[in-house]
Amino acid sequence: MNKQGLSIIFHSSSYDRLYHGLSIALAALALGREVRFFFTYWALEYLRRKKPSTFKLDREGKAHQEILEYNIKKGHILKISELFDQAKIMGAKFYACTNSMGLLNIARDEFIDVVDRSMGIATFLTETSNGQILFI
Amino acid sequence: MDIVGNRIKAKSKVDAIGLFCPIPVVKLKLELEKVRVGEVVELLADDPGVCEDLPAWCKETNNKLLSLENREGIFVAYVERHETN
Repeated sequence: MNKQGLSIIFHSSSYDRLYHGLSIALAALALGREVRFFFTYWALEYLRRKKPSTFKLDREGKAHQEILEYNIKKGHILKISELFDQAKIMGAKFYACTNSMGLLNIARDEFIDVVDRSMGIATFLTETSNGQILFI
Repeated sequence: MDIVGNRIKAKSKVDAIGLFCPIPVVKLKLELEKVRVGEVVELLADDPGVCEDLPAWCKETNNKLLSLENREGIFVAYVERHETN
């Protein structure tokens, strides 16, 4: 059985990208694989306690905003916060990029509780070892 | 595993109707963790993704897919927990 771990680097703050990255992660967790997330740049917004927005879309995502909002409202697809909680329960690790925190002037205590720790990319890569990495 | 008539008796049920892939499989996994090895969980879903996902997931996790059928658009599956889940 392949129990290789999955590591996802979240860069974009677009809801659709984050949503699908988290869906891949949940499927991997359900298959018993180790999963860890590294939040950089704009994706860090989703980890802030006081968020500017929980539903942001880039240009590509905006073209499909109505259908996304409809499906969230109907409960067919979950909110990012719900996906975070689900992944956390199943053992995913949440890491924040220290470089991006400095760049965006975000302090460690501004993060929501799911965040395990902050680290640099080299530390993240040593944790990842030979597992798969996705950049989203 | 209990069989009542020609029906499989499930210990508990997961209703994932209206939820999209991969949530049905995620909910099933979490429910299987609550039951004992050899006990059965019933899954209800309407996302056709389960037809492919469920057998693949069971194969990798060693949980046993006892049955999977389409009852007028609702997919009903019975899965027996394996010790590794």
